Amino acid sequence: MKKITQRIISVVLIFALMNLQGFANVGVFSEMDFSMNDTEITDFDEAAFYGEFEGLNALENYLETTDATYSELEKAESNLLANVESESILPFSDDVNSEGPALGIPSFLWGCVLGWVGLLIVYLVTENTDETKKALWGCIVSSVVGVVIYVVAIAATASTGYYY
Amino acid sequence: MQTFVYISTMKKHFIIFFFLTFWLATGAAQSAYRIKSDFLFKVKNPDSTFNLSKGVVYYDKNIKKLVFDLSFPEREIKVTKDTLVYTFRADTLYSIEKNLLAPEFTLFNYLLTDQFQTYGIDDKFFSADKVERSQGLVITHWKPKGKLSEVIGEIVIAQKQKRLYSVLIKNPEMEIINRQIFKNYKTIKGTIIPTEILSVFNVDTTRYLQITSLKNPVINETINEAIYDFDLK
Repeated sequence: MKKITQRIISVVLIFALMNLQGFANVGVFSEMDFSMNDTEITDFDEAAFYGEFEGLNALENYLETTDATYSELEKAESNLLANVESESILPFSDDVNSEGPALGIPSFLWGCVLGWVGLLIVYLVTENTDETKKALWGCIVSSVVGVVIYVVAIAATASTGYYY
Repeated sequence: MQTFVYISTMKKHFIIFFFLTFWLATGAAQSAYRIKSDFLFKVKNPDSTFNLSKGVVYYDKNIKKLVFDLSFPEREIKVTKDTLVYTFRADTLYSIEKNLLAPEFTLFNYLLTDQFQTYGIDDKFFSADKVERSQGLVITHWKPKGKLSEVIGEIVIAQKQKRLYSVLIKNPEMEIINRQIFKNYKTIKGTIIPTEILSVFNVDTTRYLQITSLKNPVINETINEAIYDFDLK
């Protein structure tokens, strides 16, 4: 009986220790200030927020039962489209076709002058594979030219060394 | 007799091992990896005009394509992959647009990768500055580290009953640029999903309001395989 009790206590202590270690590992709680009050989170007026969308209620209700598109409703001169834009939008979208090289500087030059940093800039700014490839070629060309200059310089130094 | 006891112990171990393996395998198989839901996305623009999009959204965390099968305003399919949005009308590529919000940073990925309660924020890019308790909410202030502090002042996350309730994103001047409220939670196959998200975006002196509603969410759907990995060619 004593053995069983000891075992149970051991298991409980092991679990307690594991839990304490878990809390200790969460470093974010170690130096925190637990204070009260943050009205900027709680002062949100939901009723007023929903009220802003009242102008869409009729269209929303209509679309619950019908699969009509904007152009079909437009053709039927429906009042439901008052103040409703025709575009479907996803947040933060932008036309990719208007993009050119980063800051208007040819991507090849970015890679050639700044190496991998230039390559990274082109990739992050344009997010365009073709522009990034141009920067990569610039990077490769500058590396090859660098190696050639280095080899020539070493050869020149070595050859002049024999005359000392 | 001894042999019988030995065999019996072996049997017990085998049964425990078998059940443990089965339990682990079932658990792994049931972990959420894809989500499908009807959605309604409403926007009120600063000039008081509206945008409304309606359809079905599909996302598989292993494929990382966010697919919107829209029925309004037009019947079209929009696929977000990396930072591009591909629009298809009648099975033909109609346009390609840039999208700053890659699928990995959307609600759907956070839901399927257990990052939702912290809004994908971790110690790598942010440090927790302080924690407050107010009106049943636990509010954590996260300060960005390094270069990120040039564009973000802080992110404030509020949890209500251990569920994400609100997120505030502030600029370096500590003005609120984005506020999101997560509501009407549903639990589907163990995945907790907010079915309504209210957002306010403050851009300079203008304000955009958004409501995203999710209806009939389905976890780990095994039909419609093709749409989760929509062919972009």
